[in-house]
Amino acid sequence: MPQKNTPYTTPEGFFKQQQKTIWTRASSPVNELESNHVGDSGRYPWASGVAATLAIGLFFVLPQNPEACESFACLWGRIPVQSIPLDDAEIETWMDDDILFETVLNEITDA
Amino acid sequence: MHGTSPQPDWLEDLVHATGLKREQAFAAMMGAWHVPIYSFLRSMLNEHDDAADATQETFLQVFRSIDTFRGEAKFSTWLYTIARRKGLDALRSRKQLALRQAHADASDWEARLEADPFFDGDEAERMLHAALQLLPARQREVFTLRYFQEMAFTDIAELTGTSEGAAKASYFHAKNKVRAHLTFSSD
Repeated sequence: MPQKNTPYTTPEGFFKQQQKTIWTRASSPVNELESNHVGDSGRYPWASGVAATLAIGLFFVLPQNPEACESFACLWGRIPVQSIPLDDAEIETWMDDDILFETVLNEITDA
Repeated sequence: MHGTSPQPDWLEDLVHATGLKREQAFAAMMGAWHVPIYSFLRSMLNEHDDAADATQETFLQVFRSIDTFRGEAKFSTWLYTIARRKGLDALRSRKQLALRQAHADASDWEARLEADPFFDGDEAERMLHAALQLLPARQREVFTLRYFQEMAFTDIAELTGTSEGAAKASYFHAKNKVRAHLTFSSD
């Protein structure tokens, strides 16, 4: 695909090194180990039951945060980054809407 | 990217081959697409580290899910779709949101680009890329795909899941905003 040159540069040897890293990670047997690891839990069927019971128990025993969030920024701060609950439709809307985008940013600033 | 163009020669080996042959196919894919995908993501995210991470995750996902590629779409469309998804994931990160909040004006972006050791542009390029970073994400990606990657609107529409008209409209708005900024800055 043709493309214009951009003024963005990279550290020396970046592409070569990254290609090597990707190949190493992609073809690493660790992936198989990880999937085997998941399968290993089948050997201890009681473990998941114990874990679930423990989690439910802790939910009721540990003190809950009494303060409800009143702002997007508050919710944002409590949500693990990897589980930010924006579905595809919301993120598409967000991307199209300049005002909403700025509002979100301002809420984060004000938090 | 659109239509019935043949798939790249190495694709078959990337899907079905093993050992050295597959590694060679992987190298051929990277040779063809590593720089374009990084450039696309860098324009979207501005930061080298973020673009590098998203690029790596893109190709890892491509490699790991290549078995599911049916060949009904062009490989490049599939690849850009994955890259776009990784870029959007990165844009949702606190780091990117904080970065964009802290750089509300073009002058902030220009200063950042001037200090960026991995940006080698002159003043005009700094102004252009500063204006680009001020665009909403949708317009930024469409502008990047059209202007820098010289992608056809039909392909952009397919990639972004919109109509060709919507892609053209996004580009039109983006271009006007960039032009307005460049005109304003040069006055």
